[in-house]
Amino acid sequence: MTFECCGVGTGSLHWTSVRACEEKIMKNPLESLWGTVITGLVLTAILYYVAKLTMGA
Amino acid sequence: MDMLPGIYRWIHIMAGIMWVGLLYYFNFVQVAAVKSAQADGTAAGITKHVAPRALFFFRWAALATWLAGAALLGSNFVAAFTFQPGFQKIGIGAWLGTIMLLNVWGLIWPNQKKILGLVPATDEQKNKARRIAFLTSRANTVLSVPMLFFMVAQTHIPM
Repeated sequence: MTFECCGVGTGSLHWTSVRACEEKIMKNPLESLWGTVITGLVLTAILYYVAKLTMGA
Repeated sequence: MDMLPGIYRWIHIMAGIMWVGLLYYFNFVQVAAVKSAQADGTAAGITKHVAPRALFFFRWAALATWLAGAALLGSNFVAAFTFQPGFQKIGIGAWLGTIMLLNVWGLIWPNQKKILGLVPATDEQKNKARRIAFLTSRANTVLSVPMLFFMVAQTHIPM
């Protein structure tokens, strides 16, 4: 079974191929400054709610 | 003796500004500047003369920040790090700061020593070191956002 990876090529459909395809589509957010800042804000929001839940318990 | 907590806080804030300020300098300024400078052959000015000095103050400011923070916590040190009632927010900030400090001394600095040629390394080892130092520095930038939030939140943001 083959698949097309966003026009960058084809490969057999197994986990490593899917992962390689995903890596071509999804970039590490830490590669860009905006990605880094947004990741920091998201992490802050997550920790805020975790702390709030913990403090309410 | 009454002045000590205030002095610890003062040192903690000054050293913290230097640490996080240099962290933001590396991430927001130097990475892009080195890339541009490499294109016109002037990167050595940054890597030879700026980066080693910035890294010196960066790593020692990190340690000073943590030590002053620990001194400021004093007898509440364990309560903060174990998230006891009333210390959850500063506990999260303290843990994030501690992870950041370990990243500086355990990952960024050892890899920067290879990149800057302070310890012998092959080109392949230097490339790997460059990648690890870059990602760790970016991870610390991510962690700095909630770390600063929770440091401020302990006394200024009700939850």
